[in-house]
Amino acid sequence: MKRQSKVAMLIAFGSAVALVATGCAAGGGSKGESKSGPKSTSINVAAQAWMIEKFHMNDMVDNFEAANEGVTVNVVEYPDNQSLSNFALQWSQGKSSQDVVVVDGASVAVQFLAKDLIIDFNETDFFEGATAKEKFVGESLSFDQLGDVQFAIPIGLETYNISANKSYFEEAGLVGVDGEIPAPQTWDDLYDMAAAMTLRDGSTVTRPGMTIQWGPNAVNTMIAVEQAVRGSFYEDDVLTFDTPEMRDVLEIWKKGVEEGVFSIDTFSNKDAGRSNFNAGNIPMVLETAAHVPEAIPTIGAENSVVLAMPGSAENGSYGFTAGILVPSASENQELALQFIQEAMMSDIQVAVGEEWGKLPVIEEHFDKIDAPWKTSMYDLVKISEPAPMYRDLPEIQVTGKQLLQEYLTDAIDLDTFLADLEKLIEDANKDSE
Amino acid sequence: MGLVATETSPPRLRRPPLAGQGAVRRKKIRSRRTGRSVGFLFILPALLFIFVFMLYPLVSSGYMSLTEYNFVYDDDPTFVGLDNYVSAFEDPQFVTSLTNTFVFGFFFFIILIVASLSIALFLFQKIRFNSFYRSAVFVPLVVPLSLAGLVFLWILQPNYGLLNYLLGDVFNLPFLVQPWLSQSDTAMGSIIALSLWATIGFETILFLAGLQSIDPDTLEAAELDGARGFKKIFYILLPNLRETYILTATWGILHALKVFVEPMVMTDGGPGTSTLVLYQQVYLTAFTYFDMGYASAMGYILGLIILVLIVLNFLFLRKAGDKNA
Amino acid sequence: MVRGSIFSRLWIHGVLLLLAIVFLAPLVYILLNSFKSADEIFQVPQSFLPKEWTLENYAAVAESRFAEYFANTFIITIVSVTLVVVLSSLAGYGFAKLPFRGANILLLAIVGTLTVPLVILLVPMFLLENELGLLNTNLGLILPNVAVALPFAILIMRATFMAIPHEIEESATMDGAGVFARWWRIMLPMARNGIVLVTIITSYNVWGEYTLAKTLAIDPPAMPLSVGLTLLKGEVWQYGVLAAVIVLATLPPIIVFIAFQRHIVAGIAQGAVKG
Repeated sequence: MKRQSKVAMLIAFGSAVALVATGCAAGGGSKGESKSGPKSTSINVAAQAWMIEKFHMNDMVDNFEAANEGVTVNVVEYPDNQSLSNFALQWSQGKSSQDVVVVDGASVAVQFLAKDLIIDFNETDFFEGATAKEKFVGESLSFDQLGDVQFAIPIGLETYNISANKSYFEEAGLVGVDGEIPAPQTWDDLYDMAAAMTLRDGSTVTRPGMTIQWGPNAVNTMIAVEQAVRGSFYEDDVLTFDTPEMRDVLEIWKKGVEEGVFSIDTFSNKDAGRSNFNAGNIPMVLETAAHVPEAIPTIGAENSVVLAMPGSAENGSYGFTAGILVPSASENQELALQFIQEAMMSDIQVAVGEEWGKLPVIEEHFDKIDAPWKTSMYDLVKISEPAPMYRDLPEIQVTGKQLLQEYLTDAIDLDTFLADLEKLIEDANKDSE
Repeated sequence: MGLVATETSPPRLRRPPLAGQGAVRRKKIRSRRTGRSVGFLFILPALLFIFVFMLYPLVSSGYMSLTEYNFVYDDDPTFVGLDNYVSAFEDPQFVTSLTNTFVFGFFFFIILIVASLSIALFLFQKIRFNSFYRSAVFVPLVVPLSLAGLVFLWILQPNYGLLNYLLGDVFNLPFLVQPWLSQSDTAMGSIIALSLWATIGFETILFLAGLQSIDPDTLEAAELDGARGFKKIFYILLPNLRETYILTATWGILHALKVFVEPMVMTDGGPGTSTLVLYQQVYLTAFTYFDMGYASAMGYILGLIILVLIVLNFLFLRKAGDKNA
Repeated sequence: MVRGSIFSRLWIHGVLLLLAIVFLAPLVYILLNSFKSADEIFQVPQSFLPKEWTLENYAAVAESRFAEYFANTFIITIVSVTLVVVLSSLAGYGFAKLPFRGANILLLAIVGTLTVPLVILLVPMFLLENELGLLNTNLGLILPNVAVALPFAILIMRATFMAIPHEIEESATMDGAGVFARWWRIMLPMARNGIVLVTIITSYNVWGEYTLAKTLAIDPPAMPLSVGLTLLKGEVWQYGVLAAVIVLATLPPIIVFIAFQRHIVAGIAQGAVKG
């Protein structure tokens, strides 16, 4: 009996020791690869997989390494924005495995300012020479700016507008004598166009005329549309959607859903509009206009055009960029800044813009773009506005999307929808720090 | 209180249903000989794992649930007592997502148990192609749930999805063609369907294991007495599966109320909030709003509900068992 | 075991065949689509068989770190399953046959850890692993996976041991076998069905585990399949690539499963009853 309990004790003790030992071994392992001496020669650049492809990041790295001998740049992929909170957890412990992070939608970076987890580019000498502030396109720097803090450097400028497949317009006889699609002046016009291109088989709609982004980015869509029709989405400096102009639009949206003219497949699949547009299955999509260049290989350059939604030519739309940030905990900030300046802000951006519609942020590069949509896009980008940088913006976006979908599927009426939405905005923490 | 007695049912019908009890009493006498702590030592290694990687985070988040703590904006948690728990029940998002969780859980759980038990009974028959059928039912087990969700999302797409194509073009039933994931009812139905597709195989294995450990002598004796078909199922097989049921139901309850990946991948909680489940609301609150305190409180409420249901399920079955005995 | 008329047999075959189709159809559909080009996938109306078979989707997957992800998942699954089987057989035996004061409360507490959503445990886990230097290591995923899988595994093993007749162990005690020797030599071989079940459920949970991996493995070389494959998504999933990913991720376990299907079911069937 004594022996038995001894054996059992041994097992227990052994497992405990093994557990601790393996833990220590692993700890030692990861410490082994810690950063080199004071003069850094290597940086880690974290980006989402699609950014590496679409921003041509490997070219950026190759050029930079060729120009700076002995320097290595590691590009590390991360899956999505949720990884950022993991990064931030590590930063808050005073460590950082990343020296440069490219984030999807620069405004998500704002939150990391609160605890000074990322650097303020205004406190560096970044804005000198080729990347001086006046060299940036329009207001693009302000997209990544909070008060006088420049928390990120924009890359890949995009705005919301209508991507249109011209072949459907020709089919429906909607093209003018000049061979161009006449820009719709009001949402009623736009609705009529979409209705004319809606295909029915008996009473069922087999092809809607238009897809509007009503998925996770629904609030951004509303911001874009309101900016266009009304010239602003603020009233007394507070975000608002309860305006006569927006009420009209919302009623037309509802009608479009009921008639099947506007599709609702973005409710569950945010990429539905884009996938269909790229496959040539839908006449119009209202979300980022970057799909226009993107769809050219499949639907043809002559068919893939930007169509200005009502008011956008005068008032602009919603604009956004990806953002490049540098964690305060990075030990290689100098080299990181140099990489951003020399490689990421280089003329590689021209090709990125031409292929993917993620437009250059440096004026000089924008001028080099050679594409039919260039001017219309440029005019739009210059006057577009970023989303408000509220602390609770994520909550407004999630709940706002839910409310909009409830309204569009007739679960609540327009007044309730707007009242709930305004209440949501009113209760939200609108501080930015 | 023993939570689960056996998953393989007691070997002999003639035995009292809670086969463990007699043994426990006798063991107690013996355990004085071997020393009371030996049992604990057997458990210790497992306990250590659970303690470090579950209990510590549990205690830590338990404390957080009593604080207000936005881990991106606040330097330190502020203690607020039970405020988070109280405000949860005044929060329409919480109430909606809890209701949706129950709706999902109710339909999912009932269909899961009935279907997997029925399939297990079918597969228990000695028929040809049995191993093909078994493989077919079990295969979805190996598909990671997040990928399975994407598969279903694709199949249910309105224009280029498989289901509408089958209904509309192949079987010529155009009135059944639906935008499945964009309407509240069909969206919830689709999520339940995916969850069932992914989990029925596992529960069927558990039931099948239970069925196959029923003493062949018992079965033979019953058949000689003329028990056939449904009579045999209800009087011989099902009573012997009670202990298996405790296990499958525990798992079913856990899966039903902790549903998350399916709606996240397929509908993102929509349309509106019609498929927003509590787990997803916890997730959003924790990792999109960074409100760790409130998220932890909601998580604890969900945990408590699940625990109560599991214990109730066990107590109910033990009572039913006593009555039968 | 059950004899029935030809009619009832046909009926059973009909139901089972229908079920088999429902369960297999999505996977067959994915398999076929993985050989279609992007244009063909979005074609309306679609065709089941690819008009032109292409391997471009698989080529896209081959360019990724698929082999690394696969190796990680493989190691994590094998080690976790082994640990869970050993630890749960020990603990299950302790709970079933060697009762001690407070055992039931302890069991309830262990099961209780399962009821709380994992997401709220992620931040403490992350900080803990960061402290221990376990982030981005296979071990860093094995340890929490084992901890998460253990409670239910213990339930299964406890139930299995309880169903083993007491007399068998008693006779071994008479022969003078110690408690550990009894567990190892007599009880463990008899608990085979429980071990098979624990192996299946743990492999199932660990193979596709996503929540832990997403938080604790943020560096691509450390990622298991479930998370690593999401890096192939691009800004939008290319459905063809997605299909190839699913096929490659699920084919190995499907082959293993079908190959051992007979043994798995037989293993379950040879219950504790036979000694």
